Amino acid sequence: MSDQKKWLNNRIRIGWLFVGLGILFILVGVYFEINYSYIPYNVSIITGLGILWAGIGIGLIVKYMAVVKGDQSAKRMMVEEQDERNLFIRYRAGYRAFWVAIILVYIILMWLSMAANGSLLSIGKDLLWYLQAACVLIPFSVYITSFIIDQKRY
Amino acid sequence: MKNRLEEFRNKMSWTQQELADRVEVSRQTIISLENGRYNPSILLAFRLARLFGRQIEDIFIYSEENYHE
Repeated sequence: MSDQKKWLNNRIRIGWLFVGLGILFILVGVYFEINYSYIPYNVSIITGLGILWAGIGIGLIVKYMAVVKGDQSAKRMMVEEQDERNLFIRYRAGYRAFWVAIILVYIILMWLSMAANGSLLSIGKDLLWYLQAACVLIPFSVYITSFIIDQKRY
Repeated sequence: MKNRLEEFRNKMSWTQQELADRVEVSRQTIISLENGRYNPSILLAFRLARLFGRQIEDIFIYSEENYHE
């Protein structure tokens, strides 16, 4: 079996793993929603996570199955994903996003600590939710922006 | 870092895609290397040098100005 076939089969297996985990989470989520609807947590988050993982898995399977019969296109895809310039750009984007996330979380934790002893204004539950969402979205935006800039730069 | 990659590639009458396939990188990497925007890893530099039957120094021209790139 050629290197790219092994690589491709491995990727497809990862896709199936995501689908399996997704289905498991959906089932657990639905079970909790039906039987434990009284608990004070939003259990639909589990179902949502399951749908997300299953979606990612299906996406991976479709992406790699599309090139499974063409040796040349499979090799191109493998080369593209393992290309050192692409890895370098992804590494830089990840590094920047990581530090932005760390700084944001640190600022919020410090703010909450200081708000608890009255040094700063306290943060309401709604605002806290938006800040948490920002902690996810801002590093993600930094990753995408860095990726685009470095694609042009290098 | 300056290099003579395009010159060597043209001597062999290879397209950028053909060269990329031979050293197993993307075509974009070859474009960036030829434009001097991206400096290759030592492994890729060796692969390119071997492919053209040359020394690394024949293809990639290092100067002290490149140190902080």
